Amino acid sequence: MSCNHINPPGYHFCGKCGEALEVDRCRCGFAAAAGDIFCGRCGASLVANMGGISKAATDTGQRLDLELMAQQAAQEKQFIETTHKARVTQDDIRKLLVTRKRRF
Amino acid sequence: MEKRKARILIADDEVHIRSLIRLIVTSLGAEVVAEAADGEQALSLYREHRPDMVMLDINMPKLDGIAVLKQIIEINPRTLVIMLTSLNALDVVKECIDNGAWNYLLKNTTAEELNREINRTWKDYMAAIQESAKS
Repeated sequence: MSCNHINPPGYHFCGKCGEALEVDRCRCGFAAAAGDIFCGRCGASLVANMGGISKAATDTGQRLDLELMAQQAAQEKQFIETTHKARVTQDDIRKLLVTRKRRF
Repeated sequence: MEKRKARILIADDEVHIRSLIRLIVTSLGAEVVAEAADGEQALSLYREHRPDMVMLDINMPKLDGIAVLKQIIEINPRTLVIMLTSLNALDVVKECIDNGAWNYLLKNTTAEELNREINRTWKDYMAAIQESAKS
């Protein structure tokens, strides 16, 4: 962005110059800031959205950072597991609430 | 909703969702005291009106619904907060419940089911209030 204004999370356009901001959208729906590696809400890896190894892993001095790549692969695996398994319906939520009945 | 008229704040950045919720809760006999289109506005209107109930979206501009929930519960732990969102990830549901939300409604449910769930939640909440008053 040309004006270097720091915009709060959630902005899709710069509040100062109106330029469109780069936003990585996590699969949970959260609009993360450009360049973020993990989702600020659910902690999922945002590199999975980029279809493979992140730029951070390949740009470090033009060498492949194997440790970072392994870390990202583990995070992608966890992200895929959570996004495919841990989805709930309204019925599931109802059952969950029964087990956690609120009291004052 | 029975006996006492509930005062409600609706917080959602989508105007058609706010309209739908307003229709549902007014049909249940509640009063909508304010509507917010983002998280910061929701908190500000909460402080101003101190409603009994907050219908709260999660993915909102400026401040997300989970952060708003935490602050509302910090201000008044007895506030009835119902999350209304399209997010159906279990960890998000648990986080909201653990932080004081009384119910978590998915936007892909029917208006009839929303109506039923809101009414049931209000009754549960009132029962808990009465129970705590006795003890």
